[in-house]
Amino acid sequence: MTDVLVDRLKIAASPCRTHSAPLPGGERVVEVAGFAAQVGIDAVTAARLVYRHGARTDLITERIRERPLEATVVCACEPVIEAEIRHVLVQEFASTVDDVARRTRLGLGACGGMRCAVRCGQIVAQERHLSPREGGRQALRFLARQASTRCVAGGQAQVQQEALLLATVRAELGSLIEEDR
Amino acid sequence: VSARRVLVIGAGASGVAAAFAARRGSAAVTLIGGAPGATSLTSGALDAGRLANDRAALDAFLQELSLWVLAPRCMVATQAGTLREADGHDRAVLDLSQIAGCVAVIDAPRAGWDAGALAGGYNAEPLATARGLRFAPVAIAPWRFADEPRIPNADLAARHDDPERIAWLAEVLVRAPELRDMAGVLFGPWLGISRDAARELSVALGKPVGETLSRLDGVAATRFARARGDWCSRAGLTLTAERVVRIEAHNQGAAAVLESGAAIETDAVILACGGLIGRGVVWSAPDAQAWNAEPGARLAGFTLSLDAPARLGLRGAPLCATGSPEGALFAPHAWSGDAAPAGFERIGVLIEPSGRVLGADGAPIAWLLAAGDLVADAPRTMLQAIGSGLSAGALAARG
Repeated sequence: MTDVLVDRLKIAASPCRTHSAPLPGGERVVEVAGFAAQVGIDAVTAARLVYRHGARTDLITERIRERPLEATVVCACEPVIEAEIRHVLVQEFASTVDDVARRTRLGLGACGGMRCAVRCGQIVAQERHLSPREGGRQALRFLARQASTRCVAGGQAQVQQEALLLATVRAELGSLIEEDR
Repeated sequence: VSARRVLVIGAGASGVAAAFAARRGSAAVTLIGGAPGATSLTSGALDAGRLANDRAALDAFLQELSLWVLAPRCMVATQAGTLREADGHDRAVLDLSQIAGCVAVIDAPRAGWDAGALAGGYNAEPLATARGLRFAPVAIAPWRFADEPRIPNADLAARHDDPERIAWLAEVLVRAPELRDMAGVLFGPWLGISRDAARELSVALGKPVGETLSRLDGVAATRFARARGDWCSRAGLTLTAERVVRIEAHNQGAAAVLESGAAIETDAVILACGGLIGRGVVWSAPDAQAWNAEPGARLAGFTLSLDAPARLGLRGAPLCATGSPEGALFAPHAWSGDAAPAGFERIGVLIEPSGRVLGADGAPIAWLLAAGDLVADAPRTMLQAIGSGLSAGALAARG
């Protein structure tokens, strides 16, 4: 069909190659166990990272080789390591906490970002050259939305979780709440 | 005359304060509680609440636990890179309101600890710029073992209970040339669990050394657990970890029935079993109760986690049933995103100002008191928990 349209509209197009060229990151299969051992992270974290990035995992391995502490798990629920967050901010056009969440699933697990959104905000501010308070504000908005998403689900565990999450926000980002309004 | 018997249910900050005050009033205290609820999430900042009416009792309690320092309008640093004011703090937390000049943020390799980002965050805070306070990361190597960049904060803090190690660390700090011109030194929450390492380092260095606040699952809470255990053993109190399922009027006082079926007779009961976070108040999912709910409070969604003659409410009124055939909805109680407390931060047991719980008929029950996060409409803060616990304990002992 595309070929017919290209022909009728007389568009200069190169021949279709989606059936032969791999998608970005699909050039090669990364062996998970080897990667996990190489950078010193657990197999589940490694498998999920490889699932998202395929052969581009090499870029993350490179980061960790230069800065070993970037293998730190930032989001424990999903789980996501610091090197992946920095990678998507530098290489993949993610520019906010929300973008990082969509790309990596950071903060979308059981705790709703309670343990990681603030740290992610710090990293976003560093990599995107924003003010630290802007990073905090992005984290606060992310957490506020996560809290309201959860109460649709109801149930004791969710309600208790929401109370915990709000306690976190109040303890650490209290001053930003007033300012954000 | 035998001593009045007081039963305290819950052993977080408010329960321990209540037990302390009741013993101070010469009552015979039984303390029931497992792991502390909301207190186990303390950040190390004491925020304002209703201060105890009896200031002497508050001072005595703080001194007995030697864990917290009252410091109105102090300024503390969070691990989110923000600064905030508080009314007191964990003894190890650095009070920045007492410092003028530049504060060193210890830049040591540690998972999740980013001294550069923290210093940048603090420098951008209006609280810092208003007072001309500056922060700078200073590279120091305070670790003695290869695993220390990665072990949890509480484990790292426990390693600083070793006096020999503190002496070594003090030496490292004294020798560091970058710290000479600094007005203070800020560590993460790593400076000891049972030992006041922050004070020892401050003395050695001749300038304030302290910590940021803990995250909600952190070190300040471990210190409370340790201080609670120490106080219980000094006071000869046994912390009973069993659950209370029911309390009811009995003779002139009350009786509490435990999960095992055993009953405790007492003259007064203090409920300090926590709010939503500590699970003193629980949310029963609407779909689980809609079909067999009795009309009234149960349809309101929130219930007390034990059977007691108390009413839950908020904004001074009992909780009412919703009209929805689905049963209760949580949404009206959820956080709207602003600074005012959300409905679920207000829900609790209705009490009269003295601390006595209001019964089903709206009249106070002589033998039943409530304290801490369980109290409706009270701020969910540490000073509120301590203050309400102390007054409830004193009142229960007086009768």
